[in-house]
Amino acid sequence: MFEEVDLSLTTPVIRDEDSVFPGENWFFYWKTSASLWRVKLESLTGVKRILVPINWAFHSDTGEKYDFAEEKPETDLKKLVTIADECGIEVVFLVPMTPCPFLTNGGLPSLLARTPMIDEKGRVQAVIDKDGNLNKLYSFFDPRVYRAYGKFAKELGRYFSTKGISCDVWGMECGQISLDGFVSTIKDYSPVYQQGFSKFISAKKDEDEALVGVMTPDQEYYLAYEFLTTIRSIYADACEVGLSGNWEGIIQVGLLGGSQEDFFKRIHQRESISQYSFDLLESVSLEVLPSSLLLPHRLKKGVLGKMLEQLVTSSFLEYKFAHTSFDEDITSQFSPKRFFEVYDLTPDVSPDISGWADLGLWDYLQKYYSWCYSDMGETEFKWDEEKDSNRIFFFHGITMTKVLFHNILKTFMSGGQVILNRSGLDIEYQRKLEAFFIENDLEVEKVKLGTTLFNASLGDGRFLVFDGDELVDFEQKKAMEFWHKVLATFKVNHLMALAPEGVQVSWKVRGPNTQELSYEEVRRMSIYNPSSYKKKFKFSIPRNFKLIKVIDEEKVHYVHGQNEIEIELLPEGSVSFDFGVFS
Amino acid sequence: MSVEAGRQVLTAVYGPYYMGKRADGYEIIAIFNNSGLCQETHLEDIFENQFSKVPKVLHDGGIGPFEGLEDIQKYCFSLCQKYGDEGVSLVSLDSYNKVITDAFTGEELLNELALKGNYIKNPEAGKSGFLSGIFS
Repeated sequence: MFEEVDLSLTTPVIRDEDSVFPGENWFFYWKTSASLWRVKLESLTGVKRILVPINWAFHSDTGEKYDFAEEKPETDLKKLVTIADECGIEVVFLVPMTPCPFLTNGGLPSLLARTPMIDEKGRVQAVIDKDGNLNKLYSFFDPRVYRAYGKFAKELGRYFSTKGISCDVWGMECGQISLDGFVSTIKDYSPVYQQGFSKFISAKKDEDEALVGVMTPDQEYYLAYEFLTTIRSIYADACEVGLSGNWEGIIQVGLLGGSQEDFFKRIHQRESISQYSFDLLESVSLEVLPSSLLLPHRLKKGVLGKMLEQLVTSSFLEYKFAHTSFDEDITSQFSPKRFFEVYDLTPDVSPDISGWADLGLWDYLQKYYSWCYSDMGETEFKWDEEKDSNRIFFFHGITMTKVLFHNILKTFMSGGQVILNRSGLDIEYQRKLEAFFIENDLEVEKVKLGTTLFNASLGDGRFLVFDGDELVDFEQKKAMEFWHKVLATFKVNHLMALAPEGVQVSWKVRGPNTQELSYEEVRRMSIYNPSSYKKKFKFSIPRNFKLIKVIDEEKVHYVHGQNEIEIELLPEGSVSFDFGVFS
Repeated sequence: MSVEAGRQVLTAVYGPYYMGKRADGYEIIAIFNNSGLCQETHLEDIFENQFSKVPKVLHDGGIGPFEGLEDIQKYCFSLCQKYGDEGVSLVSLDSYNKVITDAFTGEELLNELALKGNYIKNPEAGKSGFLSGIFS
């Protein structure tokens, strides 16, 4: 990874817009006078929707008494919605359900900011905001906080209902992207957490005799997860009940620059655009909304700004918040291209069990399929025939439940493609699976590829079962070869571009318009060089890909041959290619 | 001895190392310089050279265990020499938490850590360490 240091000699001028519009169509209503809201919103061009986080501390100092348009005019959310409506802009409200790193005290009213959050090593938690300030975070495990939060959600809901505010409201879970994926900011090991957890364990021991005595590390791990889930649900339930008429669900927001690794760079005023670019793409693959709220404006002028605009503002926001699905408006809007949906181990599974990372899958997909996958983590799987018919789904047998088993079979029977790691699969499901193959008279092929693969086909459907335990000890190269051979047997219609280290490639897709009817879909390949070095590479164009146009060229030189494109990207260079794709 | 702020200093935050629930020696919780957290491969190499054993705790910016504070001092000084940093500042976890709680900006945090830490100067600073040219 390469780091960039701001070497500019002029003092950056802080523009008001940077505070009010900190990026990706977020709007901080408390950062400007209510009398200027109209002017600010009218100044936006081509913006259909703004994201408005509700600043708990701005409406209450104590957590007891609330101000919604009673004292400060800037707390008048009804007025904000009316103005936005008159400007043709939809407002989407986000209610924080976790500490918010971009707000002072993590967004807590000052009287409630009493117990600093602590990580598992005992360090007090803080983040660096876009102005270099230290925002300290306070525990959401403090009973005073969750009691007050219940009141806040109730008051907010009452205000929305009384004023007839009909905008969508999402619960916002803030976090950062790390090697372990999305890590929520609610995670905490402070004394209030420890006290709460001890009480939780005592209550559990009263309920369950098996827990009495000294607990095993696994038992403690499961209970810690259950405790975290319980506290998280207190906040989610309070929001959902209080705002039931507007409630849309929970959205995770990944704050670039918010991790501990970033913190120790950012206190030295060092920023790593390469790392943020990587985290942005990782965030999108995790279905987490990436956000640059912690980053200074100067960083968003170059290639990172372009990535934020192209991949978040113009694509991911629509994908997440638009009322009309992409399927209904398939010709005008690009959405992230996905070939694979990967369901990983649920957090209640012991950390000693091998996940997809241990089996080398992520390394392979990142290298050969350039972020064209969704890391679904612990999300519950639901089959959607309309949307998912061409995707390949990955599951772990150890997380199998009755509902998941039923859904997997339904997926396969409907023409879906499934890869199942049978390691840890309960004997009951193994028998059911065998019975299913026999009852449906399916021929099961056996192939030896380091591990034994069982493959069944039914129409377009594929069902491939392997034993992950036999893969764990594979060297990286052997694991890559394994996945390459396995996935080559699936019909994945992809242009593989192996970009050099530091260069990011991203794919989006849309349906063909009336001039493009010879194609099944149009794919946009965007290439970014966030590194400080010139990068050069080339890739072949498969026969069923036709280059339609080249756009957004910035610090790039390319040569387009019959079957190949050769690219030279200067630092901060980027370019996008639109391909028409047919069978 | 305190250190002048703004210089290239290696800062190490150390705390107790726990075996189960029992403290058993120390570990480095965060070790960083101007480039951010030190990479685990660099930390590991020096640990193995110095103590002829494999660390039980190892990640970017973290390593351990150490039997005593003197071992941490020696280890950090070796690392400081390898990086070519001007000195190393050792800060206990309690001091770190106090400083971060009281500071308002990243710059203030660094200045206070420099003042509160136990500073050991590297007389070899400026002469090239094997990592200084590339990683600093």
